[in-house]
Amino acid sequence: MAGDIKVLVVDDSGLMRLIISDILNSEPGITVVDTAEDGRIAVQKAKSLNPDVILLDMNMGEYDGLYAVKNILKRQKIPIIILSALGNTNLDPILEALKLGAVDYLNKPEKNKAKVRGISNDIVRKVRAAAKSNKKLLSANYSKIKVNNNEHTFNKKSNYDVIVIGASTGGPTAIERIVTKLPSNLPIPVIITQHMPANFVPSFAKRLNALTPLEVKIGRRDDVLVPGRIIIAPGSRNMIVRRNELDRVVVGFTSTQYKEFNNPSINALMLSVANVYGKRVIGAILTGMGKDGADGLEAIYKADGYTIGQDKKTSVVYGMPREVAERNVIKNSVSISGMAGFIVSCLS
Amino acid sequence: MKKTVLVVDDSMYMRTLIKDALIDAGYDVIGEAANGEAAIDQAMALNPDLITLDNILPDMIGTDILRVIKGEEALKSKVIMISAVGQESVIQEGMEIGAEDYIVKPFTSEELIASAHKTFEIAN
Repeated sequence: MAGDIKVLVVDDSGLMRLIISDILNSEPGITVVDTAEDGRIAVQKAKSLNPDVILLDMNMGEYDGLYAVKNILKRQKIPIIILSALGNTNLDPILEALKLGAVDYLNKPEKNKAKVRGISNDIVRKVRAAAKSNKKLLSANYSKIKVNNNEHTFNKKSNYDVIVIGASTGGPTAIERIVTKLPSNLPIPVIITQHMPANFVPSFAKRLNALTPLEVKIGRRDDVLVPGRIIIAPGSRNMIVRRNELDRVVVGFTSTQYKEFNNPSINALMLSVANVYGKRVIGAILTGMGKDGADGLEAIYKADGYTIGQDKKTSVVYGMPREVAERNVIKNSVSISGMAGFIVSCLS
Repeated sequence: MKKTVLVVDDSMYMRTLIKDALIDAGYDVIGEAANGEAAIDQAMALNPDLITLDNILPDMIGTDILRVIKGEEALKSKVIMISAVGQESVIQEGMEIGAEDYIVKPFTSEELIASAHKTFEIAN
């Protein structure tokens, strides 16, 4: 129908194309305009049909998902969602696709293809969000990252003891852009919650760890927050921080469930950070759909910590940053390219 | 012609950050200095269009460097001072000596570029 979100479904499995098309066509306001069985055909159909969103498989033989991402975004600004089982074993090609401008990703269940119906709500939600994403940012050129891990001269003792970051859609690339621009002698820890399937987190942390001299690790119970350590929330639980018997701040987990998003919840982390560190916190909400993190950032703001939202121009999805901006709980709105430098200039 | 810039900051991290932002915005960063003495030497040798000057350096403070630079008739360099919050008196002093503009930390690269553009009356 006119006004519907037009979707192109790309998958080498005929059954998968059928199921996904059925899921999307059953939704009001979404129409699958065509399907393609590999990356080359996807490029041709993207050109002739100019769909609003492309749902793209990765593993499709010679002309795979990466081929499609590169060649479609070279000419057209179409939001691409990666839907792949590859993430169950190797996240690297998916992170590469995100770096090249794909807007989001979803884990496809392995083996039993019919199980994809189990994630139909996620597929629909992500297609709707992708249709509203910032088209200007869908470009391979956007991924050129200048690394800056040089030492910074910290003139005086910092007013802050921790940096806490929350992100969702578009977050992995945004976080990469921050981490690659933190000084190698960062005097405080960083703790991050990125909405991401649990099995993606190890590859994500490993990739970040290779990009910085700082230590990047997945948060485990009782991990101490030490200077220069970057801790990423596992995707399976709600990570928090707490003060232990020795008065050290360590990683913990809570069974509390939150309204906006769970496993991992940004609110869980930021509320605990505000509680433990008071005003000695720099908190940042990055790109993402929904409202997770707004309550947590508000708590940091009210405790007189320094709060930052990613700006509209560089947010792939201006949802979470919009929420904190509209609540007036941010002290500054900063572009993703300037975010790390801004945070470091807060410390000195 | 690209405007030439000398970046003065004792932090290599900050120099890189400022340099990258200026280069991306179309400036030509021709020199860097990590202390006051090197800043004055480089300013004399390069006579850049613009100097970004951090106020706290290991050997001198920015306003003293500014005095030397503005006192040299041969130098045409415009100066943007960079200082931390709570140094309002320094900013006041810098502007009186003849700095074109100032930036207070924390700052974004966009603020830095806006300040540089303003100094040369380039539209953002």
